[in-house]
Amino acid sequence: MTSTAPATAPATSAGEVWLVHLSSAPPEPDTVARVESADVARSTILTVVVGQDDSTIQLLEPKDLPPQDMPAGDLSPGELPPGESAEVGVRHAKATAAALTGILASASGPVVLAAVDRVAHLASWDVVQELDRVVVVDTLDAALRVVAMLQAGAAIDEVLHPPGFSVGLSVADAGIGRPADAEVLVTVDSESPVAVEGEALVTAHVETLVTVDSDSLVTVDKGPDSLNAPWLTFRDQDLEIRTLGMSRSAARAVTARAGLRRRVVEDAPRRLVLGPANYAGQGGAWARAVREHAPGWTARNMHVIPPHAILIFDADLPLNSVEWADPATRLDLAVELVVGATDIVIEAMRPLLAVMDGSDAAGSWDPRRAREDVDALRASGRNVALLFHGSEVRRPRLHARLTPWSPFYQEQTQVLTANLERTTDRVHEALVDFDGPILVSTPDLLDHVPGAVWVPGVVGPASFLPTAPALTGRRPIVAHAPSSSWLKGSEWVDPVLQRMDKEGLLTYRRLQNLPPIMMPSLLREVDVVVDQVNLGNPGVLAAQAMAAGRLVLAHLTEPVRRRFPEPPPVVETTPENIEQVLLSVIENQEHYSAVAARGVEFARTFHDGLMSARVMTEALGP
Amino acid sequence: MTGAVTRGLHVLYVAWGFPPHQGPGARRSLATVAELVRQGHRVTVLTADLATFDVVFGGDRSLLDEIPQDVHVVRVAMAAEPRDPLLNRWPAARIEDPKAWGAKVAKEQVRAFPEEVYGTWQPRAEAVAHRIHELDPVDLVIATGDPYVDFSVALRLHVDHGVPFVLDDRDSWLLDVETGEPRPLGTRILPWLEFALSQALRVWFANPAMADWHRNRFPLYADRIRVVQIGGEDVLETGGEVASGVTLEAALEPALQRSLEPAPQLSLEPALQDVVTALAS
Repeated sequence: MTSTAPATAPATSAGEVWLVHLSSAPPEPDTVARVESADVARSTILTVVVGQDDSTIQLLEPKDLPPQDMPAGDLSPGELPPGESAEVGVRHAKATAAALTGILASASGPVVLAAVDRVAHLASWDVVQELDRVVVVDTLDAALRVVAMLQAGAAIDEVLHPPGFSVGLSVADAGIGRPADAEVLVTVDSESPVAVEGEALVTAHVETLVTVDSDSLVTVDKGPDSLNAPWLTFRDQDLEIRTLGMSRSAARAVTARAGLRRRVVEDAPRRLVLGPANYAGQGGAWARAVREHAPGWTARNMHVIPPHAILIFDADLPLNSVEWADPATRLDLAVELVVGATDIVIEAMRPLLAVMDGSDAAGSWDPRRAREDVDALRASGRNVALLFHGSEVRRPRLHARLTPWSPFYQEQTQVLTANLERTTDRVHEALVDFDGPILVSTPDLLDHVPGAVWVPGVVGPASFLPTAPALTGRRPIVAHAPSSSWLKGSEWVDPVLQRMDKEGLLTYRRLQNLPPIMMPSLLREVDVVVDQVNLGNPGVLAAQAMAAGRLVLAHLTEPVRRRFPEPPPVVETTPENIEQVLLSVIENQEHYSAVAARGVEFARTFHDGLMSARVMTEALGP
Repeated sequence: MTGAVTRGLHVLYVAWGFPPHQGPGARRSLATVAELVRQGHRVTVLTADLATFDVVFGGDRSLLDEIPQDVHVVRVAMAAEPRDPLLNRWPAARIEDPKAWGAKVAKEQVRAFPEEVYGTWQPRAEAVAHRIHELDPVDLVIATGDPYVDFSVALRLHVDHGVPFVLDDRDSWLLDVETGEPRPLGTRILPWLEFALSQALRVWFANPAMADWHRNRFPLYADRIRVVQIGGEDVLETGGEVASGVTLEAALEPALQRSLEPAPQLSLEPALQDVVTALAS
């Protein structure tokens, strides 16, 4: 396939904006008028034309297009007179890209390329893998907006890579709270080539770094070192970034972030960062607890949200997993939170930064990456603790020995059990030889992580709002809201509660995927919550229900019950006795109403954040 | 809140589409903020970042001049996809198969909050609202929709910190005002709307027909619904012909329809006084 371009395309000067419109069909007169009247140094309208042999590609300006002799009304857009051309298709994109690259390579200034159809998109995608000065935009309207920004003095990288999401800067720049007065100066060798898409860098420079009155320094190093070296390295309050192994676009985004960076300094001697799991919103809740209850400490959590997440929990810095994988976002995270941290809690053996993986496909669930982060953060002088929530570290084989109701190794859970065995094996392998503090969020996990410390889950003030007592004589409302049906024993709970509802003994509310923000309000409307009947330990929902003064039914093993300093007001319930327990509750409402009321004080003792803040900060040491 | 507090509240005004956004609602947002300032309140606006309007959605920066001085404007970056017009930033999967990529992203974006495109702003806006409240406690949130992701911020500060809130619905969260039918995500919007109505101090509608419909559909919360209009707004008349040829009233649930006394319509000034009075009671 051969391609040719207009021979008359002159180069622009540096700083002059060139607007190019590319389509595979002749443009409408209005489009031509808009492009030609744009406030740019040069404008060009190109149409892809394919010869009759289907292999000769031409990019023609309107004046060079084959004459259209047919009456305008008989000719649809994109249709050229018979005998002059073949239909343009995606198979012509590569040749179109070659021709386009030849044209645009002559530009000294920025090029705004409006690529307005599928062929144009494909061709332009290839062009930007070669040419850094080209900004490709998918509509003419948006292209004109980009032109306006460039004409107003914005650099291409300011258009392509504006500042990322930052809670601290968003607020500080609005004049609220402390200003972002910690500054960083970075010098980057902007002439260094970066890796092409999907390929490692082969030639590069090492740049000179200059630090001026900085709290943290970001350097971009394109040195040709081993891929086994970290892409992000802590140097006290500074950061060194290597783009080796990054995609071209990721490297460019990271490079655009080099230079002066600002951040807000947290005013406390101990500055804790937790992340990235935030299961059941606990990362955010613990951070808030530390802020509110631990003198001399502040804390923030970051949360990497999976793309399929149905429930979103509060977090101080939320990022979805696609965003997080982008090295530029992880660099932002390091600048905003990690550089200033004295203490780090890594949740669920998931990486916070993945310092050894600079690709934009870094996995946010890889325990090995988490361990590499742990080692790097400790080497930087920061205190690091590990924290486990539950399923990621609870070994199914051991669990099956601890309770006869274990959901693992049942006939119908073979696949799920095998997956969890693999997951927990990888987590346990990654924490081998870790000699720092380890925290667990439920007492049963002490069996699975010897030497760990229990840090109670925290429920927010909304759960403690005063409400009417439970079980006051009416037909009781019973709720079951499993986060995971098979891990909560829903297969046992549902049939019993559905039948008792049908018999008029109770009202059953089966809740699934209820937005967490609504949970405290909903719990106030029920009398009884069936937490789980097969796992042997109380979860966050049980704590919320107790705080609201609701009666909690759950299976807690005896060792778990003994690990509480005082007996938890949780009615022992297993798959074997769900109905009997509920019948007893219905017949003895006054008694169980008192049990439910005791839950409020129990929740205040263990789950209002005060104890959690103390345990967590003590674990991290003086 | 007790006592006759009438001035000096710290009001967080949540409007994704605040200037330089120039779409529908920007004028109402500016008027509301100006009236709050005029009544002596401190206003912080929570909105999207400038890059979102400069590049992705378009905007008019001259509108920034109309924001009253002393108003703090907190700008929260929005993830542009799938509206991102810059191919340089597109993932390879989008170039390879735009339809499959678009379908996947659209599905993911509404999993947690039932609103396409804007739903992903929810966790970011909520995180920033928390930080604002931590640094300068908020007395009242006013959130305007659409987009309705703005309402989630009001709910968040209310549930976590007990901050009262007003929802200003210029359109209808649940219904398509053109057809009177529930929106495509209506079954998932409904619990959010019911929860919001149950917790709100006031719910304002620009459209009297919509206010009536919501009073009928949610009679428990009818007392907190107000019609609030500002000058120059185009408002669909009750029972007027709509694009599909179906009258709005005919499209609503007949069983829930009943004749109402004409609802009082408030301008901004008495509407805000009404809120302040409710706060003080």
